[in-house]
Amino acid sequence: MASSEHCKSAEAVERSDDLVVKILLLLPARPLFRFKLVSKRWQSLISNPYFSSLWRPQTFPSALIARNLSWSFGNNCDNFSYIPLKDAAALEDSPHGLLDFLKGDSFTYTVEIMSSCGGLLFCCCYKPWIREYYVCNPTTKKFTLLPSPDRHYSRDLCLAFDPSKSPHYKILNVGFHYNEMYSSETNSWRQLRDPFPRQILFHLREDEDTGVFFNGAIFWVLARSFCYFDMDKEILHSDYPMPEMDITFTDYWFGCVDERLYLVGHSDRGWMPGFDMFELGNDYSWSLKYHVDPVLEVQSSILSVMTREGNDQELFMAVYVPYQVKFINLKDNTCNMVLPLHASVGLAFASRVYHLIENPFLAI
Amino acid sequence: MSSEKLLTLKTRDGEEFVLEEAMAFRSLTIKNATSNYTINNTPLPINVEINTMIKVIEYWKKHSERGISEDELMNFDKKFFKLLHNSELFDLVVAVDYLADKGLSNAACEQVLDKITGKTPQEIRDIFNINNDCTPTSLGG
Repeated sequence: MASSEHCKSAEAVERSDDLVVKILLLLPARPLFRFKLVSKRWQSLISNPYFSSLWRPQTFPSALIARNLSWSFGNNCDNFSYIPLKDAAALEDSPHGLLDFLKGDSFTYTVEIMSSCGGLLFCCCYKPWIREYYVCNPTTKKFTLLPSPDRHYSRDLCLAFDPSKSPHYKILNVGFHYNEMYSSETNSWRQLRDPFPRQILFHLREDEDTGVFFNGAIFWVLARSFCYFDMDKEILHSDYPMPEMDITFTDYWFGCVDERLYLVGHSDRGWMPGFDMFELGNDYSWSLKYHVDPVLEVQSSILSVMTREGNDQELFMAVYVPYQVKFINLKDNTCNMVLPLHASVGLAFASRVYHLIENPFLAI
Repeated sequence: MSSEKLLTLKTRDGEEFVLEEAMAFRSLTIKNATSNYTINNTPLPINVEINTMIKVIEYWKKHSERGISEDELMNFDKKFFKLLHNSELFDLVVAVDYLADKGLSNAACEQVLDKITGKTPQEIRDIFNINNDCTPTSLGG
């Protein structure tokens, strides 16, 4: 155990607010959140808004959550698969029951993730006769129950949240006859003036939550064009061109990584198989960033694109090949990590994969 | 070597030693102190003990070596910190913070980080001898 001399040196460090803060700022989210329990002084140091303004949340996800299409009522398990991206030793939550804290005391069929953005998850709890909508921070397990929107049968429900710009978030409910917007500032839904044009509504595939929040707007990729809805001005911009890509194939990935928007899909350039990755430029035109060779002869599906711990600038693509997840470094086409999985049937048909970003400072 | 400017420093526990000025100026604190200070061979007092200062100088010497590769420096750093007891590491952290050498300060803090990351709150209290004043009700979260 510690001798008195050992304690004196350690105490000298701990006495200094500056030094404690300096060290704590280097911590990742989970231990940081845990260390609030060390003492009242540590709790106040960590909770101080000055501290949270300096602390840099990691931009790489600590896990992927894939929403299964094969789930159905009554099989009494979560309808998403959890893919850890960190060492098993760092995992504190078991993959099952990740969102159990939302279920509360009343009987719940299941919890479904509707949208994820900026470290928050927008979820729906299916209970007998009702649906409850929550926004939660999976790192802290804090959540808010939202008032219900008018229309429950949506073409899309999208969370818009950028913690670097504002502590408030919005949710867009795209409906056939009208849209609704929720704002956390007013804690209420508001009907918007103009519904989306029919051709766009038909392309939003039902029950698949495809909108991506980027640059203050929600983007959707349609068959031959893309469109975006400016969340502040509440205006829809449409008919932007798509890159040369086989988008009719349902296997593509569209999302935001490190403040850039990417589209990955099957190559449509002559006989070149494999995947193409396009990046959206500032003028909203696409440029080819990477080409990925085909993974295997076996059927594979793209799960997600993300950055990884320790590899800040490099992009990786997670691909599902039966009973494994392969991580491909997009820059040099190498596969340097393979995660074996149990026979997770759901992943083969994963419709939407969310990044679990850990941030203990998001106020709900 | 003979053309190098030398500086005499005196530690908190009374030990005097001589250091090349260029190396000593890795510490902003020393640098700023000497700019307001007429060099007339009076030793500059610094609030660090000799044992810790020896370690600091060992680090500075290695990191000032000409032609040394990144890999060699990395290996040196690994070995350097591995040999420190916890109390020596903590003394180093406090000293380097006072001396204001950003590079060494960051390296030392990362070492402390490694030691605390996987620990429970009680283990942290044990390391730093902190009183547990957190009751379940006092935690607003």
